[in-house]
Amino acid sequence: MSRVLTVKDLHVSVGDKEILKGIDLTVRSGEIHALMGPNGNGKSTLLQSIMGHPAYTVTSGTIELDGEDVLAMPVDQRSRAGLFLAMQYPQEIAGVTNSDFLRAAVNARSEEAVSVFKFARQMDKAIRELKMKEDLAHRFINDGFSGGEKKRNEILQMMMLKPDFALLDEIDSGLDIDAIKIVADALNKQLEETGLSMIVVSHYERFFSLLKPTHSHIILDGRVVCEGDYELVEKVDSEGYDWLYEELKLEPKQLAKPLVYSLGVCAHNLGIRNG
Amino acid sequence: MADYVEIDSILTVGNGDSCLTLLISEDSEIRYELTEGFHELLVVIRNEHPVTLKETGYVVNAELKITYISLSDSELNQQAEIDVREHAKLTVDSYYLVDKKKTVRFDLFNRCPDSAVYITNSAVCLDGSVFDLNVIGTIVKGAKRAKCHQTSRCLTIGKPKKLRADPVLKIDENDVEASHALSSGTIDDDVLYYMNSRGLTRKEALVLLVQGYLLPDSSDFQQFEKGVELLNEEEEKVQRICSM
Repeated sequence: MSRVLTVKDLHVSVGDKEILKGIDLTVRSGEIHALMGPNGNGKSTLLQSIMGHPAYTVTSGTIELDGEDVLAMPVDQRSRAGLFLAMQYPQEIAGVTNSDFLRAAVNARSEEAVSVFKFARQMDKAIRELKMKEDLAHRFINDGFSGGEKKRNEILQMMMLKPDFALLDEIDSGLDIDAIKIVADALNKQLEETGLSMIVVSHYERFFSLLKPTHSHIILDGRVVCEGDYELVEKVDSEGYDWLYEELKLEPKQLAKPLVYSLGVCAHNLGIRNG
Repeated sequence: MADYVEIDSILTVGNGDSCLTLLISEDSEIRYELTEGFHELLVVIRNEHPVTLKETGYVVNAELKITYISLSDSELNQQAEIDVREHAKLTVDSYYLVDKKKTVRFDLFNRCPDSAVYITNSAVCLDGSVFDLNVIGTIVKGAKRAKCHQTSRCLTIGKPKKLRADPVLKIDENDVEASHALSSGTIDDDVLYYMNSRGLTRKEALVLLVQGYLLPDSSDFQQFEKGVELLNEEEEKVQRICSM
């Protein structure tokens, strides 16, 4: 069944600060959308807003899935409706094993509980395809995982949950060259088998070259300022974003500098000085 | 004696028992005097009305490992006083799910040289609950090379009425090893969001988190006849209480 995710004039704030200033995006089944742009311009905010992170407030605009209001759905319902966010910084959850977590998640989206045997077989297959360690099922979620293992684990979850729309937030960061290929192969296979649609945030053409996006978008200052096909990805890879800033007469955004305090000889002193 | 006992009054454990599962559902008292060997006790407290459990014992030239599991939503008053004497080792692991009120007090004494006490307590305190945990480790004068280590951790869900965890060490000897650690906190919102984003409701996520936090690995209890079965039943209990 062909599905469509539509984002219209989306404005999103964090606290008092407006991050997204009117985003329009339409993604249909089988399409791969590359989302590019310098750091701090709203790419992750867009993906988190679609998934429903409570820290991001949608102040106006709409997100619809086949005409259904996504903004009215709680996060878990969005997931069961077919959305999946592979996070840039996956959580570590000690005490809960990957297999218990995933089996609960698989059961949450099906009317009948999946048999333990069938689930274990599917999980073993996914683990093999992603060339992960055999004991993964019995390890706690991302606990003690390397950065690359965490990212692969996100893809493993996606393979088990079989969403219709995957939002991949810098899923290639932390992966070595071989792992990038393994992850891209798994995504392409999922696309072939299920018609998975993807919105892919990445800074690297190498990853996009393995996925071959059908559409590409550049976000600057909370707006989609340029759209195209795979050629746009290649242009950004070779020329960066300066040409776009010049064309749009925009100044590159200054990222907030971290505040650095000297604690002196004792942190207690700073506490006293600051009252 | 059988290695599985349901007790409702007084049980005296002797040296002959190496691996014993106790099911407590009424006011009870456990007494033991262990003078040799390695002993394991799995104490499952499953009560439908308020229960008091008293325990007194001493261990000398022996090793005792006790695991307490209390996940029922009824009240519990538990008091244990254990003497650990020369060349004896005591390991205590306790797990509490607190829905109403639970009061737990451990008085553990290193009475002699080369005695060792290790105690780890884990609790999940639900909305409106009262939990009072006192762990008092005492190393008496002359108990050279004694060890006493305590760890307590409490997870809160919602707003418990009262959570008091008091780790105390009384040390009257210089040549010892001792430590205590305590942590308490609630579930990270980002963890819940992560689990929600995989399709789990808040309740389904909480059940998994509480089970993971609270239930010991049942494979550690394969040696107990009835032990694994009881643990599996306790797992269902967590599901029921957290889903309410």
